[in-house]
Amino acid sequence: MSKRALSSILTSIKKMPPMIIICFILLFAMIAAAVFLPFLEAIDPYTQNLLGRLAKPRFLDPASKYVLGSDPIGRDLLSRTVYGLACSLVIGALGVIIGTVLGVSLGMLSGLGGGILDNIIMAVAELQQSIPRTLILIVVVVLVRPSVTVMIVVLGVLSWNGYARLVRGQILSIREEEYVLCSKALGASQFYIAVKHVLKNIASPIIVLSTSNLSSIILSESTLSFLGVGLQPPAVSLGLMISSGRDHLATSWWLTIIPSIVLALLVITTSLIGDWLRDVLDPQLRHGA
Amino acid sequence: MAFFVRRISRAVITLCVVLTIVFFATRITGDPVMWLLPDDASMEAIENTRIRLGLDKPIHEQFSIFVKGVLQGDFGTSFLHRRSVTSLFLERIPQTVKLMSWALGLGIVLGIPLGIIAALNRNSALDRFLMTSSFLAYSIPNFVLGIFFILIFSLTLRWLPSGGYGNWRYMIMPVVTYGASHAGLVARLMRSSMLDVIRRDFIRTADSKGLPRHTVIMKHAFRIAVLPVITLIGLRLPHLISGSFVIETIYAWPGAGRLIIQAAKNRDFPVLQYAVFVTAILVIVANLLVDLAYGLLDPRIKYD
Repeated sequence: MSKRALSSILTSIKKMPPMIIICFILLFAMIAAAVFLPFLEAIDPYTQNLLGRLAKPRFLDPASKYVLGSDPIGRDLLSRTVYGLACSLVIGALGVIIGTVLGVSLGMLSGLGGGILDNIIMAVAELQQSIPRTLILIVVVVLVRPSVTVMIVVLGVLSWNGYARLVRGQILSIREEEYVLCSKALGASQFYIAVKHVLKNIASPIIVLSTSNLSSIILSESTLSFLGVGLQPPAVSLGLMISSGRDHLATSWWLTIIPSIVLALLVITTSLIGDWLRDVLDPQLRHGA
Repeated sequence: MAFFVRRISRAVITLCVVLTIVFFATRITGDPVMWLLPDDASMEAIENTRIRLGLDKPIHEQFSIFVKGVLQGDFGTSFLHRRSVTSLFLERIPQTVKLMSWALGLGIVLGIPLGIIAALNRNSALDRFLMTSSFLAYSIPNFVLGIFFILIFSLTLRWLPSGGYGNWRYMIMPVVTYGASHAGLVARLMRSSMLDVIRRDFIRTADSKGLPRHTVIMKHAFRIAVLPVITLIGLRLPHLISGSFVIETIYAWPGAGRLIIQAAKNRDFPVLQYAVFVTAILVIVANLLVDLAYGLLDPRIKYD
């Protein structure tokens, strides 16, 4: 990241809107819960207790053994929600890393390589864009048995598109700039130019894109699991919990509503932070979609 | 003209590639027969099913049969429903289109005026309220919103049915759930686009000519400001289709989205192939239409 971007982040942290501060606190709280609660919580998310089925959460029944109630086979809802949250965060974070690395490298190959390579990479990008991402995901997940690893890889790989276009566009636009030509004349290699001039220039839009991809990967995973074509039980995922709780919506609404609220909060905080980062790092994009 | 010929020929090539990839991808992993029959099925039953589905032939032969069928508009028989895939979809696509067009219509009818109102009252409390609610409307996941609606309006208040297909009362919740995110997005984009346009010189000219404010806004600014919104709506089609999977599943709506999800759960390849192929056509055509609409609305753009 360039010094300019870093200092602009620092100054904007000082004048961060209160809403964004709340978002960061919430996000850190969720990450902390996901990291630490599995160690603190005595109740395992898989332990069944048929005598404690469908217990009410403590805010409805103060005598309840379970803080957030229990599901139809007596599993603790609090620890399941936290595990689901951890699952979303892990899939989101690792997916973003895979997508960024893959997309940036392919974008560089495309922009610097040019010719046939460029044509092939851009044709694949266009091909992928002509089919809704959820549909591609559904087909892929049907072909390969979905597990957490599969979800991370598939969701990550499918998000390469935006990064590749970004990097390629940047390379094409600065290729003829004087400072790049100078650098070339001084004998710099293509790779050196790519790292030194392209990546440095493009660090902020990549951060912005990664944050918005984080929320869309989290959302895609939970949507697929909700539809029953993503992670399968006994895996713990917010989408799965929301879907399985629907059968008990009339009697035990908290089974669905609690994971729904957690998921909505997660998606909202990540996209608010993403919007804020975009405004701070990329003033030109402020009026974009 | 040349522009469109080039675009269309590229679209056709894309479609052929999509079709080939989907065909081979669905054949290289796993055997659908194992999913269709009970675990204790006899070898004979397995073999018979395989012959019935044409899966006993070598893969290149299956592919040529498949391509011939596609050219005649025949995508094979659904493994699960034992009916022609085309007729299954033709039966359900109208329901999906009905839902989509109402939802998109709601998104446009709500989103455009709200975006304009927000832009004209920039930084007021009204603007902030509208922008916060549209942000929430489009960032809350569809299925979360849908479940809240079911809990509130069907289970608690008992005003509306929680799902199924019937008269207009069955349509309200799916359309609102589905339309909310479009309305939110359209409103936000309309606002920023309007703010961008009313700063420009030709608006100042129109204002200084003494034209009434609403004429300036509606006749001069709107035409330009709405362009990005049209692009967005065209580019939203993939989202619209993805949304139909979720909405139709939550509200048990008998449309194509639900058919696709059921097909995915049962490895019903012919249905999935058809789904991918048809959505690819739709998305490509929508992108072309966006380009055309641009040419009509903005006389400065000419294709040659």
